[in-house]
Amino acid sequence: MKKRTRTLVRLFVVGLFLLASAVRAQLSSGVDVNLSQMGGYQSECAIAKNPANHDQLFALCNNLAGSGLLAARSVNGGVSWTFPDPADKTIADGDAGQGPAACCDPTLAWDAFGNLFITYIDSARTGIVTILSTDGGATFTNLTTFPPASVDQPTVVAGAGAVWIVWNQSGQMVARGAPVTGLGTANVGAFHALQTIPGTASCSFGDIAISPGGAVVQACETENSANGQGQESILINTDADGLGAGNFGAAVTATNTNVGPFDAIPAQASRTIDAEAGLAFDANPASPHFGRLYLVYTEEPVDENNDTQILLRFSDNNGTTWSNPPIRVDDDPNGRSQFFPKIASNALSGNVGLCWYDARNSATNTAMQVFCTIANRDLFPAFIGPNVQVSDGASTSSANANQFGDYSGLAYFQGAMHPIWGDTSNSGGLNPNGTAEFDAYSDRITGGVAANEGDPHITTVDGIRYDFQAAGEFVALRDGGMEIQTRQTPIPSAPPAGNGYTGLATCVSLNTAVAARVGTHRVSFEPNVSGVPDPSGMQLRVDGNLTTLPDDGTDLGGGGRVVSSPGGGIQIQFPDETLLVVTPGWWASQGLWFLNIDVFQTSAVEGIMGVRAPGSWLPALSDGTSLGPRPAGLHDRFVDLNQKFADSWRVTDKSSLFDYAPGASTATFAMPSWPAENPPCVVPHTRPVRPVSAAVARELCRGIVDKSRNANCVFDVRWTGNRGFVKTYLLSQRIESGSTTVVLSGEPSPSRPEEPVVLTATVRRNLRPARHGRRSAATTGLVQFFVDGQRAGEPIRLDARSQARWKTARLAVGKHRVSAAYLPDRASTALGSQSATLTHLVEDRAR
Amino acid sequence: MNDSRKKAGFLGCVLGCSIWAAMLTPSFAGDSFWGKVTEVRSADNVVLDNGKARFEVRLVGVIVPREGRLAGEAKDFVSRLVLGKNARVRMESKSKDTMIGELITDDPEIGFKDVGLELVRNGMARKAPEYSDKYGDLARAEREAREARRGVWAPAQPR
Repeated sequence: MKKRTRTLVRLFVVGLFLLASAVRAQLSSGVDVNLSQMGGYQSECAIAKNPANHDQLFALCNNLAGSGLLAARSVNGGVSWTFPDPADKTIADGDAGQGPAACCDPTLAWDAFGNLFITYIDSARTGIVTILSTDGGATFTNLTTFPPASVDQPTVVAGAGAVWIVWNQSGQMVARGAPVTGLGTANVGAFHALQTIPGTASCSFGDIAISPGGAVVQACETENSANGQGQESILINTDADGLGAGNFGAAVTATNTNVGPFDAIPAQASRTIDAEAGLAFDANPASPHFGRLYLVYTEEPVDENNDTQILLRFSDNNGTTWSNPPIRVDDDPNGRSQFFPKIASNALSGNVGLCWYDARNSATNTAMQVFCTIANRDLFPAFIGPNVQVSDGASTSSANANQFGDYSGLAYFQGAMHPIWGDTSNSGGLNPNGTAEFDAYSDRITGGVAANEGDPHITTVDGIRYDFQAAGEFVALRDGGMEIQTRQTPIPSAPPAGNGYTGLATCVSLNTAVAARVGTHRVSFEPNVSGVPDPSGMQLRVDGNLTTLPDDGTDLGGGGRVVSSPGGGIQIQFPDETLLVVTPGWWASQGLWFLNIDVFQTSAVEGIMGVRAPGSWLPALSDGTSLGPRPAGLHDRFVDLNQKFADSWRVTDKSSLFDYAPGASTATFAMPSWPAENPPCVVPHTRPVRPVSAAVARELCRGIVDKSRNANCVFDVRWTGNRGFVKTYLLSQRIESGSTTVVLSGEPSPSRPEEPVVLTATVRRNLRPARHGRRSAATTGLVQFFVDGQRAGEPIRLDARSQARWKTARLAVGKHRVSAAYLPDRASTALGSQSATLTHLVEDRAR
Repeated sequence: MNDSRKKAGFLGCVLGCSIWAAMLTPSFAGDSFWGKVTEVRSADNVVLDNGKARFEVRLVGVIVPREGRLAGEAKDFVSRLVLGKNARVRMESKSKDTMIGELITDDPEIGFKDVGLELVRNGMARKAPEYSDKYGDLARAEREAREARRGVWAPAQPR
């Protein structure tokens, strides 16, 4: 092989490795859930997530198995779905109390009060109907049906004290809005008069968004070409004062697109696609782009070549002007079709989730898979993450004349995205029609895995592995809603071998304490604030108070909580669904605790475990700037890593989340001179270590399966001689593969005296077993329910859906704290876990 | 016939059958467009102008008489309903540049009527075999027309 060819092959292999690492690390999807499991056609779905309870989801789809709309609800973050009407799985089908009969085109919005607005076209196809649910989609109340007209494709949105609906009426975009002041119909005011949106004659397939300040923006696509495939425009109109007296302003052309309103592509040949413009605001006041409006749409740069692409533009003035050129969202290298994009923003972070149908892996450009990515506000402008395939199977449109329908659905809140789509792959084998019809599928997508283990071997959230041996306290990960800080303590070692990524062979340190901001609370896990580690265990403090964890953990509010973890460690669940697992080990000869720190399903990107800045060899500095490419010289790398980078992420007195003994501060633990650039690696007042051979270290670490973690184990044991590392690595491995979450729900809520209440606990694996080569590993065991801290009955065995239910009619009037503990079977690879504590109310009144 | 022509014929048949099958399968009407009907070419073929473009539209789910007295009556029937009036086309599929879908009137006097459905109800068309019931309406309309012996269901006239 010629040298040039060999070089190219190496570059290709390295590129593939980097691509694979990044893709795996950025986003993590689960196993697809077939939530309809019905005969006939279900597709063209909408999905919404309760901003007040991130475990509640509601989905609504067109349905051809009978009348009405497929309606499904989840109370466990989309792990499993039930039906408000289990008899036929539909609502708006003529049954009493389920809304006027529907034709189609469902759209959903869930506001912070807990109002779930459900809008659709009625069965006569002349009315825009809106019904309301205040109990997570269990029951419904009619809200309004607008007067009969020639209507199409409504979209509902709620927020900033309003609910707005936009649709096409007699060829023109129109909108109506109403004030919302609280939960329930009594708190939804009358809809204001119909507004005809200027300049939108022959414009349709719209979307609508409400700015944090209450301005309302709509998007629609023109219909100017006779064959439906010529160049069209996406028009934007803004109603600056929302529910105020002003109307929508004149239409602005945000962009042109070669994807016409009825554009045939091989994957949707007869039903056709449109540009499917979508809008979303950055609604996080802490975001640097607060108030930014994003527009996603489909483009076909070369008209009619079927290489349709997903593009994004943004506006910082509520749609008056738009960024140019557009940012490409999909990274399809094959020139195939992407279509039906959906956009949703996470109001807690300002990040934007994007999902779409994608035929990149279909040689005939006809089979689609669902792909998603997250656009991270902190990485702007290069903020589009890697595309990740979400759907487990591939679907073709030929199963039904409706093909994929006209749009897909997406919900994104508190760190988890939930796309919903029509699927013919029959992955999971639960489609009664096999591959001959569409069922409605969904999935749950979270951020990736990051690690900070041993002599700090760091795996960043975008999959880069490097060693970081500075001494002091550092920001490990943070975003607008959470922060994790670590304390690194220098330790003596033999002169180690060089790290593969940095090329540096410096002295080492260890994580010896961790602290976190969880909602409004501060949590620290330290050996002992006095500075003298206690061999009996680490100390946990919440808001500075020494805390002993009860069996069901400590609730920190907003979905945050801290619970015990195997090996004397802790797990912290953050409100944004980030999961932090801390696994301690005791090094007797040195008299210190060391920690493995693992982070799952996070969307945070800043810190020493954060993502690399564009063009940088290390994560971005704390001001967002880049260190640039890796220097050629080892000394320059040393300065980059252990001085510039380390100092950038050092904790200050003001930012520290740790607890200190009187007179101590973060400066007490900082040692800017560590690591020395060259050995010896001697730490004053510590005993020298006794290294072991590589062969002994390899033998000791043989139980560590993951190659990278195994190499870290061998490194740590070899150069420090501390065999205790093996135990913590094994524990971390077990936790990663077996970590579970218990999601608890209780219904009805609230309940009446003597009314049966069913508590349902769903046990969810935090990582796909496939990551550990056990894709089909079942979650088996028992669940113990607790009411007001007392055991409620005997433990109940999990069913095939990893759920256990406990029913009672004996709850007294008042508020009750309920929780559940998962107790895995002895043979199970899963680890026990605790649910968050719910408050269940028994009301002393008739309904 | 040589092989390539046979293949072309076969592919044409497959394509045609696919489009026909798509027309016959139960469906929702999808994305729509709205405008004024400016021409009625036949009972199931009209031209709709939205002010920016003209669309050729074929009605889905109905089979109209192609010749004879009833063909003319059906075309007149459609003309009375929609010619020069506003209507919405709920598109179901597209064949080349022809939009295939439902045609729904939007007129203050006529209201919102599904033209295909009205054709079948008045005996001016049959429901396409195996086509969806379009929410059950087409089948009911055809039953009503048949029972009332309207149009295509009228007893044959003695010569």
